[in-house]
Amino acid sequence: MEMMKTSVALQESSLAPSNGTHGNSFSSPSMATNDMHAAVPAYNQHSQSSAFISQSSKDLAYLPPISSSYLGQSTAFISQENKDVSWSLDRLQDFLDLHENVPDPNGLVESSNGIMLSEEHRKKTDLLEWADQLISVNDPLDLDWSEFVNNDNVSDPKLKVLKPSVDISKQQPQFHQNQPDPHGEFSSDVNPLSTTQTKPRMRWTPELHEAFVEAVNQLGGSERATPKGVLNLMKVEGLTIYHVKSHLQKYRTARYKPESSEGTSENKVTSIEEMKSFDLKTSIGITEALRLQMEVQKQLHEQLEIQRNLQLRIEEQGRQLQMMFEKQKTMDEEKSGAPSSALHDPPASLPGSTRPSCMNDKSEALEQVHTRTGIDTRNASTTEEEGSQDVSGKQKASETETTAHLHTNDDDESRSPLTKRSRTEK
Amino acid sequence: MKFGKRLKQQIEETLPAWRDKFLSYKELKKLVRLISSAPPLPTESMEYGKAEAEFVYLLNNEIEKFNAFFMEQEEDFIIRHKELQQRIRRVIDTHAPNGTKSSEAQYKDQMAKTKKAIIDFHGEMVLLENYSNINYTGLGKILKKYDKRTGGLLRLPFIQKVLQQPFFTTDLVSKLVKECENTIDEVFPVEEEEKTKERRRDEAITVAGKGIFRNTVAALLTMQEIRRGSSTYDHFSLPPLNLPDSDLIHSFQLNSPIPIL
Repeated sequence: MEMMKTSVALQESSLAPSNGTHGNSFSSPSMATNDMHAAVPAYNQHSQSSAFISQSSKDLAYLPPISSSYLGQSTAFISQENKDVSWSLDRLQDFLDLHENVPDPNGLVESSNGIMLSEEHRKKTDLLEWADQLISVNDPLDLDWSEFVNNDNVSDPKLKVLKPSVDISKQQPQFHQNQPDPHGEFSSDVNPLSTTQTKPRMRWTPELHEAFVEAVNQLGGSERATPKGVLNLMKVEGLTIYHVKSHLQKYRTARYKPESSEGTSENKVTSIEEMKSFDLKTSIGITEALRLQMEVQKQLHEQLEIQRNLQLRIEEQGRQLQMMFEKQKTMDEEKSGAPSSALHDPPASLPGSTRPSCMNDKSEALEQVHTRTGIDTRNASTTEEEGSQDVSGKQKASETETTAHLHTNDDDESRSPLTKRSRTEK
Repeated sequence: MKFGKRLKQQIEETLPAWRDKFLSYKELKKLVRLISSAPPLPTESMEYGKAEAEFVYLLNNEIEKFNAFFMEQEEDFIIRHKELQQRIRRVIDTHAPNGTKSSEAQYKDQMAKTKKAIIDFHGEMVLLENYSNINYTGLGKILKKYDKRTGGLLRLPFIQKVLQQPFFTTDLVSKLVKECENTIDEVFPVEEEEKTKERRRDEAITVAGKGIFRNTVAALLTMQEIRRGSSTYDHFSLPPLNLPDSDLIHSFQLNSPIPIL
């Protein structure tokens, strides 16, 4: 389990680069390679770097050689380690996940969420079936590894890689947590800003766990139940055998070694045996200790809830403010397109109506504030304001009014452009 | 630097397995400084775009780290929650009035063990909530720094995405916590005997020991400290925290190598 985690961590760190990074598509593979080298020395390093760097389009026809080259590497582990086939397949899956990344020529930070070609889907299912077949072999040693071992693909720098990953979780529809059916919830809503290819990250719910326990019991208990059996019984769409396997492992640990799954070693400082040896005086202390512990925990929980709600509200306000500001901006832009004949009287309290020259400056300033390229945009806008004070004064007055409505405290030091201008005016 | 220090304290006090799961605040701050110290001119917007992309990439990595850890823990909690419920049921049932399957002493012993287990379990879940929140806070702060130093507008949209991340949507854990509290109140009713509170407190503190209790205390105090007014206080800052038993909690910081405040 540990190794899996490490490999996952590695995969995650090397996966993130993907789309949206202009020139980074090559720095990341080398980063990834280094990571891989560090943690997985037994692997053939050469083939890995080539596998990472090649991001050409993939052809499913290459499936056998690719898989065999991967497996060729992983057999080294299998023969050394336990007979856990699925572990090597996890590695395989991780490799496959990697190569879904194709540098986005537009450099847009866009996620491929929900955009799934039917062809990709078919490829995915094929791959899943193939992976599944390997798992269904109960005794891994029966598998004929010899045909995989001597494989020369590793030296091929142009190793073609599969594009579609088995990361179906990304494309799965989001299930709600409070449905009575034991539907799993996937983290496909993760990070639209990034296209980190996570392995099938499963978010368990109590209902799903209930279904799991049901299935396990039907199969004769946690020791006798197999991942595949449980998976089939549960009949939950999108649930993979990897999810079930890891969950089953946790489940077994929790049942048969409750001490190890409860807290950490630090926590076992006061074992019950120690507590029992105290006399009555201190045994009252134990109750008291637990009571205090509970008190403190309850408080922390309560404060965290409050804090979280506050944070949500604050961001919501900020978001609305931003929206208003954007609306304002579009209004201003529209007005600035109007001919100067429309604007005669400078001292108007409407946001858009100023002297033409100042108007242009203002909209320009707004524009600058919104682009991400300027550094001193705020400085620029403020200096321009100082040049057109009386008019801007009116505008700011109306703006500050708006902000005052939204914010509960009168602190004017908001980062948002609106109130920032009013501050400099003061 | 204040938050950075607080965060560091929290991490030192936290459960060992959690230590490397927190936000790499210091590193990110260094990066922000690096980015802003070589100020790209408007003409070099390409450079700027690259730096920002790099920054976003790292942040996303962090978020992925949080998500992975959080969901892993959450899964564990779901399993353990059910197991504990069943365990309590078993202990109570085997001490049914008709069947003397277990003696009084055995019952007491089992109950005591279960009580401690469930309280610790509650504590761990609350600490995970704290983990979630402190990382969120850190992200917000680093984004604010970034925007301030580079004039970017990264913070607002980015935070909106963060709000939806698994590690921040702690509703399930919160629910489990409450269920735990209910179970404890039902099964282990609080005695009326509260008079000896003061006298027993010192012993109680010794017995409570390290680990979860200490962590929780640290977390509460850190929260209080972080939310104190500062020079960078603005619309997006949280109001100061008023802990009802602030003094009492402060006194719990027994022999702490890194006393908070």
